[in-house]
Amino acid sequence: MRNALPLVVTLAVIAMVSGAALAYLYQATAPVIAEQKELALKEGILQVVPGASSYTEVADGSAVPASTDGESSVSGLRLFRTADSNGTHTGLAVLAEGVGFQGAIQLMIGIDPQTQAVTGLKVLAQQETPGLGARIAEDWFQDQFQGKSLSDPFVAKQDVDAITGATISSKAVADIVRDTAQSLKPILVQEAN
Amino acid sequence: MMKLWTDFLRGLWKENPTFRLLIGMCPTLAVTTSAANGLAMGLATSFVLICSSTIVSLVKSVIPKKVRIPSYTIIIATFVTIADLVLAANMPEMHKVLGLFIPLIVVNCLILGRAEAYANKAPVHYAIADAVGMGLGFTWALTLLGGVREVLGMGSLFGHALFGANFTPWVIAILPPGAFITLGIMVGGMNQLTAYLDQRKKTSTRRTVSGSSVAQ
Amino acid sequence: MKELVLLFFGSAIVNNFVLARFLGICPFLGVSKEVNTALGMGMATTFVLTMSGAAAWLVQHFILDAFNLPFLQYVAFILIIASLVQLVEMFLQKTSPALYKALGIFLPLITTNCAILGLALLVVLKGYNLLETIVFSLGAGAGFTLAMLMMAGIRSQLQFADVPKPLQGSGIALLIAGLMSMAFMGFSGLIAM
Repeated sequence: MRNALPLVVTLAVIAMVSGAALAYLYQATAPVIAEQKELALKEGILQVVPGASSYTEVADGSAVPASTDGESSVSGLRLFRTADSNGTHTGLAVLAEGVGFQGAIQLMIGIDPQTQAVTGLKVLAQQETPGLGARIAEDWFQDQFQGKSLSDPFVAKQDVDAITGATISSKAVADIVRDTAQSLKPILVQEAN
Repeated sequence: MMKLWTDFLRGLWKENPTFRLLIGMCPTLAVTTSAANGLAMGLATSFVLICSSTIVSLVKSVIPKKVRIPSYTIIIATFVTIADLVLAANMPEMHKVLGLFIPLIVVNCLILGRAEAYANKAPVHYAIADAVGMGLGFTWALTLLGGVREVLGMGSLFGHALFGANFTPWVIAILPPGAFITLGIMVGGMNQLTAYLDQRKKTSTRRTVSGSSVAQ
Repeated sequence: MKELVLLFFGSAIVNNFVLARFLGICPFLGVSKEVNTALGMGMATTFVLTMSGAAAWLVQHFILDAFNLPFLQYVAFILIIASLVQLVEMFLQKTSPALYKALGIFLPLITTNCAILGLALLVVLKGYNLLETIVFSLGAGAGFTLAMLMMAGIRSQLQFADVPKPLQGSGIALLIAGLMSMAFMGFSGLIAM
């Protein structure tokens, strides 16, 4: 047993030094990382709602879709109300998450409650195949959603142009937009008034 | 000084981790869908490699032989976590692209391999020279592989389009099979090039030898 | 039950660890010259994969999450794997010398197989429960073994082929892996994960 002592002590010292260093660095970087995430969110929101300069999250819980029906392709929603520099309400931005070809797709969708139309769409996160499905993040694909009415069918290859060789990813985006519009209907009626 | 230089050069060509030793293959194949990704992965790996080789070389005499591997692994994992946190804080876009393959730097055989095979025995300045060379060798190999795949698969390099709109990219090059095939062809090419260079060196030395004998 | 079967085949075939996710390439290229060794390596890896998947899940939930220590994840996981491999080695040596003789030489190599750490991290990332984790790990191991066996089978035939000199060894192995990966692409998208 005496022989084992230096081994245990060495490992313990190394582990403690490592743990302490990492704990310190984690403390130092955690706020910066949180800020970066917030910044990415803000950029997305301001990009999809024209004229917006600030936003507040709508946290009344009614924005959460009925995930129990199992049919919706949207697995999570966060709703933001945007305002321009005078504080006038300009529209809504929705952070919607759904399943793509290989992993989760996160979309920021801008909505004008007055006209019930999409004002913009931005892919915030995706893990689709590079060169194929990953092209959903290209401008031409995202921009085609702009101006579409929320009551559109959003079917890939019909009213939404699909990416060649990446029909599943294209369809996933269209589905997420459509199902988001569906689950937001009651809130939108409220917002328009 | 001479030894420092050979230690540094070794990783760049003669014992290049990617093309000659074929180690650290998982990140090599997985993240090289573009030149920028290859470069970022190479630099992140180099950072971990250089830091851990330095520390290993410094503490080698106080670590008992039996717990060498676990100790080195903890050191490597610590530096990987540091790289992960720093990337997430300062380059969130790159962090997202490299994703799961940042933590996997821990098990990149290149790093533990260098710690075991070299840093473990050499004084610290040689260990650093070796790590810098190996890191750079890994980085240029990944950047080249990523560049070739990006040019073929997307018609661009570092994100800049190279060809006109009529170019039809070979998407296969950036899909998983393309990774294996591109690397396979490049390894073959490197072998051919090395064989050619060796051959030329041999004939040129023979010529100088015979030349000097004539002079006598 | 249906979900679990899908999860198994999803991780074994559709998102094959070696050919689609690029995890465990080193043994795939290095230890695939003979069918018997490939099988041994596959079995040993599957064994450790499943054990460490479950262990990583437990540590993540009962230690890292419980005490809010996310920054220790990599250090903790790699230590689990290293000690688990050591334990398995000692256990086999005592209880089943025959199995130890068959698998023993592969065990040290497994610690640095990135499929093991990759699986532990994926399981946490995907939020699987313990049962799903075990099924996913078994699938991953089966997929790894399958890829190893096919590679070894092809390579043992290769000695009768006239391979160009520069491609002999690793070059041709990579090209074969590319063709196998292409074949496996046919399964992609069959099961959304």
